[in-house]
Amino acid sequence: MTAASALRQAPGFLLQVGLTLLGLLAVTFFIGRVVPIDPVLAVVGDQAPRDVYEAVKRELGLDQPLAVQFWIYVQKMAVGDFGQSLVTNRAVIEDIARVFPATLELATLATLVGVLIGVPLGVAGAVWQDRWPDQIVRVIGLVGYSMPIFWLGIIGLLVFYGMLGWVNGPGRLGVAFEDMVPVVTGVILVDAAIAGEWEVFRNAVGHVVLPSAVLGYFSVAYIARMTRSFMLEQLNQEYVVTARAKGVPEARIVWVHALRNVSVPLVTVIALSYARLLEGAVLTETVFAWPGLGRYLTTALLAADMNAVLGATLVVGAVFVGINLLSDLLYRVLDPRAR
Amino acid sequence: MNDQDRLQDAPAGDAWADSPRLTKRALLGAGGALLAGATLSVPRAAQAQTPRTALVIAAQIDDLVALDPHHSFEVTGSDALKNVYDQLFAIDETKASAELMPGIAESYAVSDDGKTFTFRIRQGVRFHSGNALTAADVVFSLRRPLQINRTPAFMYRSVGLTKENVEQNIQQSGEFEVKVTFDRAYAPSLIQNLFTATIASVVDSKLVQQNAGTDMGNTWLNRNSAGSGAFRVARYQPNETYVLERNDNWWRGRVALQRVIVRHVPEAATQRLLLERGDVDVARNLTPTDIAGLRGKPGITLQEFPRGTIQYFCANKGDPLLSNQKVIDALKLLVDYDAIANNLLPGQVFPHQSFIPRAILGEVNSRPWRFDPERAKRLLAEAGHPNGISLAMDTANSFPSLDVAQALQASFARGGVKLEVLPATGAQVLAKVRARNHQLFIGIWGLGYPDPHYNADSFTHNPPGQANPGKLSWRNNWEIPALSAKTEAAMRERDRNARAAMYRQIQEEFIGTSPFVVFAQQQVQVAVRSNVTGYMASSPGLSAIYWRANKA
Repeated sequence: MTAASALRQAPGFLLQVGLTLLGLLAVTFFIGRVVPIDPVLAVVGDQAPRDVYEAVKRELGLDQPLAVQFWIYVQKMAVGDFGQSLVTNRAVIEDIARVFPATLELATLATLVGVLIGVPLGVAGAVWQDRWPDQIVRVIGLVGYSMPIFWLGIIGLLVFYGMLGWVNGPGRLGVAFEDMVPVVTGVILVDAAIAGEWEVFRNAVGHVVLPSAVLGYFSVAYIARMTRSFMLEQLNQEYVVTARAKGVPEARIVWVHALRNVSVPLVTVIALSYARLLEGAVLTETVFAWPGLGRYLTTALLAADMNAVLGATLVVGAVFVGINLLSDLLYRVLDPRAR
Repeated sequence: MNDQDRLQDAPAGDAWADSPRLTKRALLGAGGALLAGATLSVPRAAQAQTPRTALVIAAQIDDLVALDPHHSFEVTGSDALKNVYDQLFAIDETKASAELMPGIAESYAVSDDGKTFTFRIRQGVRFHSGNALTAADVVFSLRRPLQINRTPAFMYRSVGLTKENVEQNIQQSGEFEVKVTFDRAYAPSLIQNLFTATIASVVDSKLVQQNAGTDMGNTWLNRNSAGSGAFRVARYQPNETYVLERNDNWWRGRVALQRVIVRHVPEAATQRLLLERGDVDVARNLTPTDIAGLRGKPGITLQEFPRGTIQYFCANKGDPLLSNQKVIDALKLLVDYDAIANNLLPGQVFPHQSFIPRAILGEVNSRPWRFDPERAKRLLAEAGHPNGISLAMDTANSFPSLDVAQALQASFARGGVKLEVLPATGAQVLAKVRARNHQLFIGIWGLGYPDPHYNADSFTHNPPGQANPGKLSWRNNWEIPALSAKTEAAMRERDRNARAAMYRQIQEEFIGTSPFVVFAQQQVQVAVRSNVTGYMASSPGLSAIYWRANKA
């Protein structure tokens, strides 16, 4: 992709992103206003007399027409003012800056697990279709899809933490290691590495390995299954027969010719899987006491903390848009026809 | 992972029969290496043990909204803040029932007209900052809740203090003396009990004013502490953790443990695992199943602490069906009180039928209602419903109310009452009940301060001609001018014993005639490591006590 063509496409793309986010804002805002939850009560409590109630309602701007409220809301969002969370009493943006790195850490590792194990498994499944490696891939996929992650997490904790003691317990760090490294990125593994605190790093690895493996298992199942299907399609193409006829080594045909062609749809699969994990895996975060975005969003939702809900939803939307953009760009790198 | 992730089977391609030998080996090797790498890279955890000088608690603390003691209203908040701040009065945690003792106020006197209280402030108390605690701090702290006007301010408004009159009515009358004038002559025991609440915490006025910002230090105090109590807040991350550090100069004596670390662990099963592995000393929110699983385990002790929260359901008398008291009485006979306490929530509640919890002034142990479906059917027939009725019950979609509501479906059915359970989020249900749009509502109710008036004000006080959406009596259209007058008289009675007697009488009337069905009082069931002593998950002063905890 040349710089000039990228520049030509940029305004249209930005407009598309802007409209998507605006649409997301509108939907979440109006849903937030029609749900039968009284945001004033969340502030003043249910014992407040009517005058206090009315005063706070005015302060929150809830006496204005919906359209006006939405306009004010969009203006604030545009400058990054997501408002104050009722649950944490902090700026929503500050909360998100705290919880998102936790989710990012977990989702990235889970996706890595998914790609590093899922892709080779999928390839193996396609190469030995209907034979035992393929059966194994199918079983892994089936178990991955049918087992509730909540259950898998609990069993994982019970076995690897409770019984075997191979991994550390729930949470991101042991009690003795908290506050030992300065927060730079919020991703503890990175921060510990920056600070050169390798003991903290090891402790954090011990904590993250199980939740990321559990979450990653679902990615493995998904990615392996899709890889298998894409590879099967490629391995039946004429260029593969031609390559074989020319005597190209089988390994080269699989790993270079076929896999390269598979890489374009695979990028979409991986990107979608990653984006979904970045939304925050509520159940995994709950079981592993992982203070991430999913749990933040759920807590906010149950507490009628609409500022936090809207802010977090917007972040999730932005992540989706961002990852889509990234996979679009990757397409162009991987597939000359898309340039 | 959600349903969208469930994909269709991958399209089958033609069999590619020739299995390449080299690739097979390479693939197996690569996969094996990956798996081995993943396994070996996991560091083996040592058998865990919490630090000797720290108490580590796994608890659900995601409802902790505020650390500013004049803003906090949740039990979770009080659990932390009562250990950080001192209040004017205290409840003796060593006693089984709520008995008052001096706090920051050493003594008090009441004027002849009963309206003005003069508090003598304890000398020699220092805040965590090193600043000396004076009457000026007390005046600042008593005015501030109304000036910042957050949720708990209603407790002060209920005794006639308002944002407008605090400067006038709360004044320093000497270096260590403060005068507070109320709008009426209230019972001294009521005022003392009110001033044991978290809202009556004395804050370091100099420190708060230095960090006042634009909201009288509300934002700052929600992240920091400025108290004189047993601990100071060393760290707080909402929904994650709070850490309290010992105050070496606490006026009540130095505490044994250096730190208290409370970590948010939402899942009960996870709390249990952490406790069993020794990574925490206390698991605070366990289910009856977890408790049963831990019973008899070496190194773990189970403990129970009564708390001032009752479980009840109420009937909206504004509903045509429920306006007939016989129908409500029938519902009272269709609750299997013993089954709820013994089978549904074993260890988590005990049977109780009044609005004043046990251990609080005026408590009664009167439990006249028993599960009796036949009598309930007769009452329904007398009320004109020989073929039974259908009712809907609103509930928050959470433990324990939802669980009890489902159990009630079964027991109501035995008396011919078809019950539809309508679960929704707590906030949704609250809005509906405040608008009086419910038939039945099931919920829990906690005391804000350890005085009978706190609950009486909501359950048995509904002055005629006013809209009081904060009061449970109003929400259920319970018109009670006479009982409201009695409740007002009880809040003014100066003699403690006479006052207790008045509340006992009010409760008898309540149990017999109200649209409320109180069926249980909660207790906190916790599991602790056996080397921990003195930890109290709840106390008659309505909060956890950390300062007595120690480790062997």
